[in-house]
Amino acid sequence: MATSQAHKITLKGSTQLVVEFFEYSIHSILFQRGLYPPEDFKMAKKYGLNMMVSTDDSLQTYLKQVMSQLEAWMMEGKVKRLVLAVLSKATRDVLERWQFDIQVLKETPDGESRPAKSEKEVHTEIQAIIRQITASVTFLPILEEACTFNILVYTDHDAQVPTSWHDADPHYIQKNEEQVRLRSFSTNVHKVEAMVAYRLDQDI
Amino acid sequence: MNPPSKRHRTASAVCDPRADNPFLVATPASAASKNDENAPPSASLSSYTGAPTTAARRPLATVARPRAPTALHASGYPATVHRPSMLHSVVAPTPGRRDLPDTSLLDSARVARWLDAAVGSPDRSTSAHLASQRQLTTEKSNAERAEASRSDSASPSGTGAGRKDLEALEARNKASDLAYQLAMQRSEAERKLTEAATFAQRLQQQLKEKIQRIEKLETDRRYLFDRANEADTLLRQSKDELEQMQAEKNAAMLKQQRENARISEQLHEMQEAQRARESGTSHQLRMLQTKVSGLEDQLAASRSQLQQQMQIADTNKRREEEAHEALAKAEQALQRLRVSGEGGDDADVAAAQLRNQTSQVQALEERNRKLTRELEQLRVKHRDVAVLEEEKLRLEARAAQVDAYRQRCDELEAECIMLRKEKEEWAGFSSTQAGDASIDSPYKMSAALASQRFQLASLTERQGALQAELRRSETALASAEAQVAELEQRCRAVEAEREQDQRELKRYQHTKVLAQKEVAFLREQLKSYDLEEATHMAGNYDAQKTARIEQLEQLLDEYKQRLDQKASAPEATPIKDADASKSSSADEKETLQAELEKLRKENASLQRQTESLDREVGALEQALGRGDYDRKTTRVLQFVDNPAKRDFGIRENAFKALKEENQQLLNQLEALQASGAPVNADVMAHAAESTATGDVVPRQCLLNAQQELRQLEEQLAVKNKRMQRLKEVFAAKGREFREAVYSLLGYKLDFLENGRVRLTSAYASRDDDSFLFRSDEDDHGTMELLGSGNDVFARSLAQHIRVWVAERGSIPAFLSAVTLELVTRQSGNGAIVGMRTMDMANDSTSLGSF
Repeated sequence: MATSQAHKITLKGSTQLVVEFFEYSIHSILFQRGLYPPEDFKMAKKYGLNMMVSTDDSLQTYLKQVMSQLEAWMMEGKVKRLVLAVLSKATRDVLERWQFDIQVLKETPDGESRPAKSEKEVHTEIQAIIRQITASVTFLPILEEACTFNILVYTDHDAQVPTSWHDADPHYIQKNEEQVRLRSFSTNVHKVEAMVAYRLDQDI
Repeated sequence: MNPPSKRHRTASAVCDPRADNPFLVATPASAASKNDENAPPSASLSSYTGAPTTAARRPLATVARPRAPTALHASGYPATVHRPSMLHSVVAPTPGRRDLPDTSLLDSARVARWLDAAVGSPDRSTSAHLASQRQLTTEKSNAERAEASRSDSASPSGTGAGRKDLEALEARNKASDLAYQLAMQRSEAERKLTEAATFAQRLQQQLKEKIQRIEKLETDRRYLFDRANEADTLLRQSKDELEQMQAEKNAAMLKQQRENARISEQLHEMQEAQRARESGTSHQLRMLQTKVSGLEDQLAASRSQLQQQMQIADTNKRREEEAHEALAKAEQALQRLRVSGEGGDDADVAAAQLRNQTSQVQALEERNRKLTRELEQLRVKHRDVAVLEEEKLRLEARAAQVDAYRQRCDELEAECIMLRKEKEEWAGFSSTQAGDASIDSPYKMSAALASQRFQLASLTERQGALQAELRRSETALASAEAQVAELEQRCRAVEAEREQDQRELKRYQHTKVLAQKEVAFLREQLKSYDLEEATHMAGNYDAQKTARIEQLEQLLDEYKQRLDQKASAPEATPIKDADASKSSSADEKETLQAELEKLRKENASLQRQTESLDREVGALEQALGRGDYDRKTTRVLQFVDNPAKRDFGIRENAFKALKEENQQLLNQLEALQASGAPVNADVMAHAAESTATGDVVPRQCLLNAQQELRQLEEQLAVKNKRMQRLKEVFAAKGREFREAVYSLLGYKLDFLENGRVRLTSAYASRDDDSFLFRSDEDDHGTMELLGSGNDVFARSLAQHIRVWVAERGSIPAFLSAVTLELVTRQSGNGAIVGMRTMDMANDSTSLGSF
């Protein structure tokens, strides 16, 4: 029982860590991709970096709702993937697709858990991903049209879905898709692999 | 016979002749050494026989003398001249008192004798004899003189008595007559002696001849070298004889010496008796003594020369004794004469005695002569014997040498024989051993030997090297054998391994077949999935597919691992095979290689499969990246109130409202068209506007307008909010600025109306201690000091104002000076009051003026 207790505790901590990472990375992507005006963002120190956090109320509320639900699902181990899709307001085309695969790390067959990672190590890994997100501006195409975004959560089929959540379109990028795999990070329980897919506008 | 030696003796008897005339000793020797050719052998002989040097010298002198008469004279005369003077010195006192007639008488008699002697001497040819005779005559004369002197000295004693004197004179005359007779006899004896000398000379000549003969003999002897042994024996005998003779001679000499000594003693005694008894007889005695001494000399000479002839010496001795006896008789006669000097017939007796004596002396002299002759012979013989001895010794030495030579010769002969034998051996050896004609000398032999040895050494060296090599090769062989064994073992192991490998291979092949089947199955499955996907795009497709993909990936990994193993195993075995068994496992190798080829082919096909699978995986991953998912297992959810939806909702709402409005307007238009004339939209709109009567505008329009109003209000609110935020920021910034200025420069700035600025120092004691500045025209910022809050304060700073503002025109410097002034004032008051906290109450007003 003790081990399961410990496991749960680490699960909770890990979940919080991952959710926090999602929150900050979403803020960062929104800032970097210019989905919201930069003046709506304020700086916040996190992971040893200056993170931009939006002050938009509606956005904040939305994200809070999403994250709380995500946390709930993650505690149950139902979440497989989180996707931030950037859509064109005009055409509703999916232009970018930030995908975070979440793997719940199972215990090793011989029953022993892997060597525990300290929070600091996890933070450095997260920091690397955030840096990659920031740096991805260099290769991602400029979003010239007004864009909005949507967050998709891939859950298990048997996950309990509140009424505020609906099934959604997977928001595929329809044509000229390019994929760039980003770094990954892992806590003792979860492994998060980041990836960005984008539509390369060859016409231009 | 021997005048020099005699002279010597006589001289030495009276005084030391060496002191007076050293020539006496030195000259004969020197003369002999210079003139006598026979000297060296004689010298060597004398040295050999060990005879005294003086004895050896004397005979030399006798030989030498005839040849060097002048020298003898030269040496002889001084002695003869000398002696008489000495004698005179002894008898000196008497002649002075002697009467002249006596002396003349004596002298005349002497002259007559002299003449007689001179007449009697012509037969003596040689000067030596003459000399000797002369000597003798002088001696006689001396003796006569001595007698005369004695008679002279005796005569004065007898002068006292008349008859007696006459008798004495007669006796004296008789005595003189006797003396004269004696002298005559003596001269006769001397003559005989000279004759004997001549005879001796003849003998000498004979001796020379004999010497020649002996020399011949010697030559004979030399020739008769083989008879050396006989000579040796002879020599030895002669040596023995010589020794015996020498011993006899020595004994005789000793006896003679003793006897001589005795005689001399007797003579001395007699002389003493004579001197004691009668001075008259002393002269006679002396004469006799001299005679005796002369005899003694002769005896000594004979004794030294006639050493072998003992018997002769004995006889001589006896004769001498007889002579002594005669002398004694003479003495007795003399005594008797003396006694009968008183008596009468004693003179006759004395005369008879004298006659006897003379006869005896003559006999003596003759014998003496004989003896000397014999002596000479013997001496010569002795010399010859010595020479012979010497020669014999030489011969002995030579014989010894010859013996040594002979011995050596024998040795050499033996050696020669040995060498010959050896040589023969060598020759035989060389002929048998070498065979070839090249080795015919020992040099070549040695050379060949050396070369052979060298070859041998090189061969041994080579042999050693070969042995070492052999050993090495043996060890190598052993190691090789060990290696072979090891390799065989390894080969066996490899074979076993290979069998195992083969079994494994079979298994793998089996599994491979299975895997291929599985792959085919999977492909089919995939196709089915694709089909499924194609048929229903939505659904649980993604989850299943991902699962399948995962499975496939795992399978792929497995295959990869197996392939790796396969690839590594067959590579390792062939190497081992090659090492281990080349002979036995060739067939196996071939089969294995065939298998290997097969496996490689399989491997290639598998690799192709894996490649295709990789491609599939890539495609699947791509799909995954796109966001594909298994629809069966996974749901994609979104929050309902998401920004995109909201955005779309707004748009949709606006769209809907416009649509509604449009619809309503259309409806209204239709209604109008239906009621009135057809007009265009503009006109109608215008009309509608112009005829704005309540219900003309559709409700939707109002709603839309209201919606718009709301949106605008919202926007206004946002703007207000932003404005407010800005204000807040500005206020904060302004406060910050003023605080910074206050704390840095020490003045509180209050911006008043009309661009005026009031500065209140932080160190001001009162609130109204302030300055008022006004900016220039156009508000360029150059400030002008207008005045102060109160005049007292201004006046207190008048000097500063004058200096800094009026003269220098620098407000900042003035303010700084004031600040310093105020600070010093406060400190002068005793307490430094801290900077007054700024009163920020009226910030808003100041901001307002900003």
